[in-house]
Amino acid sequence: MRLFPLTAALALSAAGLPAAAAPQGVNAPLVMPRDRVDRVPSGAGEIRLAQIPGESRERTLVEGIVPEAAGQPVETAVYDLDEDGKPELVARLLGPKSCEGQPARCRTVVLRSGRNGWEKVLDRKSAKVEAGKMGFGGMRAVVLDGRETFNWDGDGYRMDVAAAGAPVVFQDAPASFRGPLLSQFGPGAVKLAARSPRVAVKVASASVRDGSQVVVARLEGPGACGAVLGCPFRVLQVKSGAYVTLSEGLGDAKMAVLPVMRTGYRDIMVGSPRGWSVYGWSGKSYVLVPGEGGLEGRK
Amino acid sequence: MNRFAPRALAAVLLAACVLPAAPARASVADFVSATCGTPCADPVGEEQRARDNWSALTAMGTTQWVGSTMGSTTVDASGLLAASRYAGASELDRWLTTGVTADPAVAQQMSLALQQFSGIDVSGITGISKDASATDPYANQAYASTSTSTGSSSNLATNLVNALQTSLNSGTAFMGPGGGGGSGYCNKGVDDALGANAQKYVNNMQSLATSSEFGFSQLGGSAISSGQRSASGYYGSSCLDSMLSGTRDMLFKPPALSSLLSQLSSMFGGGSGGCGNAQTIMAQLKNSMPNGVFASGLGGFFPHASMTSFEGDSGSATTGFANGFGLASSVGQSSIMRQPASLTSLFSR
Repeated sequence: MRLFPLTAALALSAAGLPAAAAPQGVNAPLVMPRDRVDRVPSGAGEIRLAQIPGESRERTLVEGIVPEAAGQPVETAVYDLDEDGKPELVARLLGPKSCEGQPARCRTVVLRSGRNGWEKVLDRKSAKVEAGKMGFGGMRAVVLDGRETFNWDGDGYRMDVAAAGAPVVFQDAPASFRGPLLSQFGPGAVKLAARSPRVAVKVASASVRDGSQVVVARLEGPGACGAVLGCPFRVLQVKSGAYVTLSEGLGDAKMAVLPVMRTGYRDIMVGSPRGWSVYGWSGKSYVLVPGEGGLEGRK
Repeated sequence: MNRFAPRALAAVLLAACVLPAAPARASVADFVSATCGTPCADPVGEEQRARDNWSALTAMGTTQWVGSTMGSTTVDASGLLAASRYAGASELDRWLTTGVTADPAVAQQMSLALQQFSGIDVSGITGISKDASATDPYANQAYASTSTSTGSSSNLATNLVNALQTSLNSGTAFMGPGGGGGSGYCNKGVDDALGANAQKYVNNMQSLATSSEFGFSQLGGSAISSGQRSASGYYGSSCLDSMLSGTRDMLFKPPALSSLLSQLSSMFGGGSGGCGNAQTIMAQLKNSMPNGVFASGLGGFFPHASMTSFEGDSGSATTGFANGFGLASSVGQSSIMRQPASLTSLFSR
């Protein structure tokens, strides 16, 4: 683990005014506790968080961006994820409203100081936080609970859908299947595809159970996809020579079959322009799993 | 006279013809900033997406919904573009035509977009100035996608005519050309096809009324066409029939039969007895129906179809259709959207 230069840390500390006279806004400089001034960790590895007192500049900063933190115990860690000398702040809210499950997964945020002051770049429940591989812009990935990887895209942390499970790889649908697959998206899509050669049907197979595969079809091209939710997809099962729709939704081409099984079938994670969703088997169809999806970063 | 003057004048005229009008450009920018936000990260991409979506909406015939109402908002081109920006034009078309979406939240967001972003001038994208009329001014637009390389652009109105005419079977079209309402439609073929479709419905209703099995209650229970007494039709189950058969509670006092017969006699016989006015009344009834059919809230493409309200805390939208003759049906959500509440308990971890 690389140690943060002491001089830089002191400079960061000195930039802040004495606590009594310091501005209390969100964009006020962060003054680290004296016992942590000399070392700001960086590099890959677990990010260890420690509970902070009821009144501190870190708490003020966290509460300014995440109002839910007010009045509940909070643990934080100062960590330089991109090793640029300006550390990020990782905070976890420990109150019962912010936690769920056993072991408790509690709301965890990563705050970063940017051009517009401090901003939230990741917001997700977790029990364990790790700094992962270095990626775009020299910023390390954040790995939550050892299974969810978030990569930096220059603007915020985005879920690495492919890393979450077995990636679903799409290819152009064979011409003989194009018609039957198109009809799964409605008569409008059939009309649209007939008029525009740029409207494509992509198809992939996904192993959702040992020895059991489903067909995943996507509609792509001008007019088929939304800027907010992405392109329509269908999870299909071939039954008696015809397609039976097991699920329908919207998302981008990043899709993965997760190792998590539900009622005998694996979950499917679908990325979208602004986040991701998880679909689970209900016994009859794949449906959105409440609480498993999320929006990314501050978006 | 300056010899360059004619050239300068020609250049000015050419520029006026070729250069895009400033208001149109401004309207596109207004739409992009309203839907994408300010500043928009990719305004050029947003504008191209809007153009692609409009081409797709035109190709699918989704512009037929222009002029329909949703709550207190009239659906217009900017609303359609904003809703398609959310989930894509094809998904918007599917929701508007079938009431089905991938998720109730998607329907909610699209209905919000339709209402929130209506009224923005998007003529810079659609190429047609917003029309004040309730009919669809975009129906005759050819599909002009920039992506079309086959040159197979076709007219939406022609497709509509073909679709409607295919659905028709033989019948007597007494309404004739233009029976669909005449001036409300730019394309005469559409007008004719709608008229024929409405005529078919009227004919069906007439057949139903005069059938021996389901015929309306006639004097003496006889159906018009067969001369048979209707035992299982409306007559057989009518309240009047039950009352006359004496099976009702004695405390209930029915209207006097003589009074009813007198009123019927007066109505059909014009005071002279018999049924002299019956044919006239029937003719009036038949003539009144087509006009009623085309008093539509959806620009006339779907007679008597109207969007029901999109209120309610669930956010789910249901599109209701009434055919104007008291027979109503509703297009609900897909089975996936109707998962029982207990299903969600499977996923609580």
